[in-house]
Amino acid sequence: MKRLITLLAIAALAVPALATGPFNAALDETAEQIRSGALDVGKKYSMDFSDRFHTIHTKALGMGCVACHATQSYSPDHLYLRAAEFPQRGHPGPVPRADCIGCHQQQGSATPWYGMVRK
Amino acid sequence: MSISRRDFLKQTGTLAGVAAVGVSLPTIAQAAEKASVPYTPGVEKYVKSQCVHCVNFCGIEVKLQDDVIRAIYPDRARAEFYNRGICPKGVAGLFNTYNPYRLKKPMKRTNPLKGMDQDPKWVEIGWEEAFATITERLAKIKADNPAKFIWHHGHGKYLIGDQFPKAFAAAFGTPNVVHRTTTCESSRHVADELTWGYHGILPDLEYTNLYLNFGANAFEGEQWSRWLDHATLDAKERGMKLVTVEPRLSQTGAKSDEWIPIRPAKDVLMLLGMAKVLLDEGTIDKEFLANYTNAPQLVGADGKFLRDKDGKPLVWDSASNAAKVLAEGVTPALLGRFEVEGKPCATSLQLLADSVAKVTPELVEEVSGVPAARVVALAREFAREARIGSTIEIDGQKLRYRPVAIYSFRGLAAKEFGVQNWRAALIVQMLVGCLDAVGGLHLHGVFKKPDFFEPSKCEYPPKRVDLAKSVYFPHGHHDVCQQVALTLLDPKAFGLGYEPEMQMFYATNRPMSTSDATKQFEGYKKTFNVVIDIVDTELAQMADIVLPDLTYLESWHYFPGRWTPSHKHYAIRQPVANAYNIPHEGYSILWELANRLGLRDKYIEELNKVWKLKEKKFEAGRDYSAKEAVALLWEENAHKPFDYALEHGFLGKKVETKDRYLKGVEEQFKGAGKPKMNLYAEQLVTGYEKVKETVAKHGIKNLDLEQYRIAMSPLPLPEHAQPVPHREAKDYPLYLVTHKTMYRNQCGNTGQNPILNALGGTDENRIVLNTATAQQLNIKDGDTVMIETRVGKAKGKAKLSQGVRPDVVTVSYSYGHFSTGYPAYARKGTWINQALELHPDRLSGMNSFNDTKCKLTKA
Amino acid sequence: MTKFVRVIDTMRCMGCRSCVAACAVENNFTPEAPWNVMVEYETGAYPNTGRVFATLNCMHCENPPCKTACDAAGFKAISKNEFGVVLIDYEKCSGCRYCVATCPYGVPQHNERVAGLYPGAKEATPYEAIATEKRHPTHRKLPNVVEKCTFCWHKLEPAIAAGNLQAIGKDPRHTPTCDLVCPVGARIFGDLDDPNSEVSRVIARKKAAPIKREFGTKPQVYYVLEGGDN
Repeated sequence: MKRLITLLAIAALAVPALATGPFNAALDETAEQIRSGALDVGKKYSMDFSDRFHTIHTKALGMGCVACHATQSYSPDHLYLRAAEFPQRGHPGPVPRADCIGCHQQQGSATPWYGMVRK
Repeated sequence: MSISRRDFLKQTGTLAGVAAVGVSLPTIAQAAEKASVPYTPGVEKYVKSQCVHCVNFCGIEVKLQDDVIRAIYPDRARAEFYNRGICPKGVAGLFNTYNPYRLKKPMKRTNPLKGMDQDPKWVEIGWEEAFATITERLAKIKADNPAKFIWHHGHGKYLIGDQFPKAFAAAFGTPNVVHRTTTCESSRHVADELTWGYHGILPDLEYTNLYLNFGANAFEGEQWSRWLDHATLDAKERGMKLVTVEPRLSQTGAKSDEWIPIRPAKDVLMLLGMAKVLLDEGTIDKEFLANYTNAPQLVGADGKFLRDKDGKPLVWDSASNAAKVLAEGVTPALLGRFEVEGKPCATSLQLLADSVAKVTPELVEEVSGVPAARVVALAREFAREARIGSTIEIDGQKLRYRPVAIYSFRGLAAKEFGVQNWRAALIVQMLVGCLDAVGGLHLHGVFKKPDFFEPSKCEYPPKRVDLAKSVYFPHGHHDVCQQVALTLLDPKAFGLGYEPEMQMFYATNRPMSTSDATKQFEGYKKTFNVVIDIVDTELAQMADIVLPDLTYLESWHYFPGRWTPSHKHYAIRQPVANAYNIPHEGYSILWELANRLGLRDKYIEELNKVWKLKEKKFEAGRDYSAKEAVALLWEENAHKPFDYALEHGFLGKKVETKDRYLKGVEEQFKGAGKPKMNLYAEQLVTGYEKVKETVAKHGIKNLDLEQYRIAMSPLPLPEHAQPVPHREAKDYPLYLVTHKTMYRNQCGNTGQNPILNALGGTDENRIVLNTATAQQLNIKDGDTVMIETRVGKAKGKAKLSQGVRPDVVTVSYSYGHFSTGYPAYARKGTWINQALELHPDRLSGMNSFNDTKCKLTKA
Repeated sequence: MTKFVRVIDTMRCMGCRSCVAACAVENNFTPEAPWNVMVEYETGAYPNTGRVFATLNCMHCENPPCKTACDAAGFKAISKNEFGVVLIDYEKCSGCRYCVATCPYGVPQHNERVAGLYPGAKEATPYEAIATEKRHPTHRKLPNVVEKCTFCWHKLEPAIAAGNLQAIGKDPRHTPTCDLVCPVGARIFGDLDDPNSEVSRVIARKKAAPIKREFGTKPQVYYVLEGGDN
């Protein structure tokens, strides 16, 4: 939860639209701008830092690294296939996927990766 | 064969089938269809065989694709008889065969210096040169004194069957054939042999309700693991309770209902404490003790049984108040002190009761760290769950029902007092009568060798280099593998009448898997050595000639099979490849040497003897290929055509109820006129007298009689919980124990297997210690730390754990290889054996792997 | 219909990693991209300690986020077939790793390089040298491609093609190898739509459930959990 608040707070500072309305509405608008191409986030789909994925999350949404990447390893009981391998080369830290749910759920602002539906 | 989707469907007749199962067409062969290069898998073939990575000998089915080994599966047909699945070593076995770092050609040493730090500077030679050199040396030795030649096998025993080297040695004339059981569980075997006349035990898990496991780790690597694992879990799902007593929470401990962390080597005391509770509370199986064991037999002040004029042991008949031979109408007293012909005596059970009187639960707690209340409660639970006096009817047979069992492997065995540790467990089980009862501890081959009830001959001078069955190791029934190198350092000191000149080692990496192991290398400098193996091990580096061997996937073997309480089977292993076109293996090397030495027909004669062949025999005057030998042995034993073996790989059968429960102690020991199970091991009393006599007669100086007196006690004692390092290494605060993992075996070839190294931290071992202890020592997880003992040091990476006693450090075996013949990736981890003190069990010669004390510091 | 599921019983799993090794051998493992991994951890504090063993491989979700992400990125390399099996087409995969980023189970593995199994070896073993056309497409490993567990689709496919669905989960030739080799029967594979199948019975009897249900991915791998679900 703490990380989510950080994430949204950072987003609020970075995207002016967020300051004028509810978070969801602002995020929806940014997401729509990304989808429509109004906001240029690059065309190359890749996890490399300079490509689209990180551009969206860091530049368009203004999220800092720690908003996603935990500074510590996963807890030993984290049922994640490569839980034991962090820190990996080129990765600042593992990403708890639960933090993605907020935006990436059904009817969420972003591409709905996860099956759960926003209330 | 190229498959487009249309062809694929046509060939497999799928169109109709698809409709029948309601599958839409686009899915089928989708992957093949959409790939730009069509899928043409070639010829797929399956061969039934047997895994020989360890001593479980699991049934396997090898999958070949165009004659390339593609995968290894468990043989599903074997599930009923033994293994349900296979372990990672078995799964990854093909990478031992395809290993590019294998030995491929014979090699000879060009560096005259031998040692752990010496590169042999190998030069490849032809097989002819290798055989000629070896034969010349062997011929010379044979003409002089054949005993100067020593044959060793470790895993080689299971690659071709130890009958072959035994027959070769017999034909050659050497008594020196040495197997490795003293690095496994030989003291447990010897305890069983002294107690009930043979070895081989398994809990009768189909019916067991309470199972006490003293440090056996069947869920990792161990004998019978691949049956014990599923049988234990099935029993647990049925409701059986599993309690594991061990210093380190093993994987077996982890699957148990309770883990009792005990201080190393103190198990015997806990068991004696339990025996005291059973005796004090009278929760003992009197009928079993009186009729199956020597508990009522009268022992005189000299520690020996009172006997009648015919030598038959006497009991105290409560009915007539007189000493009598057990017979119809005699009611033997189980406890009591009596006087016979003016001399005091007591029953065996009384001596046990006297002996354990001082082993109070409080003492057990103080010494072993197991809470007194837990010892008492566990003993009571064991007695209650044993249902003493009850019977069960199975297949119309009314049978003794005692559904409790104690089991152990190296946990109790790999100790200076290994025999006495396991004897204590047998005695606790005798007290409740669960030995060979339904649900109890199943005994295999009860009283098969009556000689085991006789005192040792305490031979001197020793015939064998390993001193087995000599005065040094009076009951070394299973060889004493680590002693060979030590005797070689000074043969005269042990009275050996000759100086060995040559050793051949078959599929073993012996020095690496013993204790105080650097000394082993010194011993091996003394002889001309030949090593037969698949990789260039540390032992191979001590060789003068190395011969490459075939792997278990490339060679033949007839295997008499593993039994379980309910099933038995015979099996064969058959080759599926020869990855490097190696023309010889252990079997053919022996045959070739027999031929070159002019011993072939003598070898054949000995083969017929050791294999106990009756109908099918090896015929003199001809050679046998490995396949021909395996076919002969199969047909002799399985009474089925060899084609059956080639197709099915094995022949199994269910054991009849009467054979399972009525052929063991019921037939051999029950009632009057039969020998009795040895609660009291009188043969050790007589044996110790022989040791004393022999020492006096020959002026033997390097044998500490007082220690032999303690070791050869007829009953287990609290002293048996005090191995040398625990008594002497006062400045070493931590206990050092060892364990095995799933990913390595003793042979040294698993370390080069890339799959076994890639299963998540399995390429190296760790020095495991308790988290709280680590905090005190300022050690963090992953820190490099140093273990120091009185004999050596071992460095490695620390792993912090809540699953180990705070006073214990534990390290697994078979890591930390250093042979120059190993690639760097296979040399990781800690070789702990260099830091283990060696104080072998004086009865059996068993290595002490769990008795050392150590210091631990941040390196 | 037929819906293939796997049950992993961590109450029985003894942590041997046979399934991990079996997956590697069966599926032409490359060291940087394991498809099946053992997560092992301790619980509690001495002397009340437990050890938990849980293997993780692809959950073959009914709502696979990897596929959603791949589709959104426009590559459409990930498919889910009517048997519930999620597959990656290596020839379409761009190596973008969106699937890696979305999977809550850490399943998709980006294979940066396809190296030989024996470090330092001069030539490939016969196993490694099996030609491309003789490898099932799921075994044609490529650099910069994402791979993952296929439920051993190469073993299911021929049985499905032959209309021999009943062999799946029983016949070694048509059973995922990880499930086949388990020494203690801690893994079971079969048809959840068949109420009499072993998977259906075990899921009901042992109350097996998918993990991380909060993601709404509806996995087709069910766990009998000894430890927690984090």
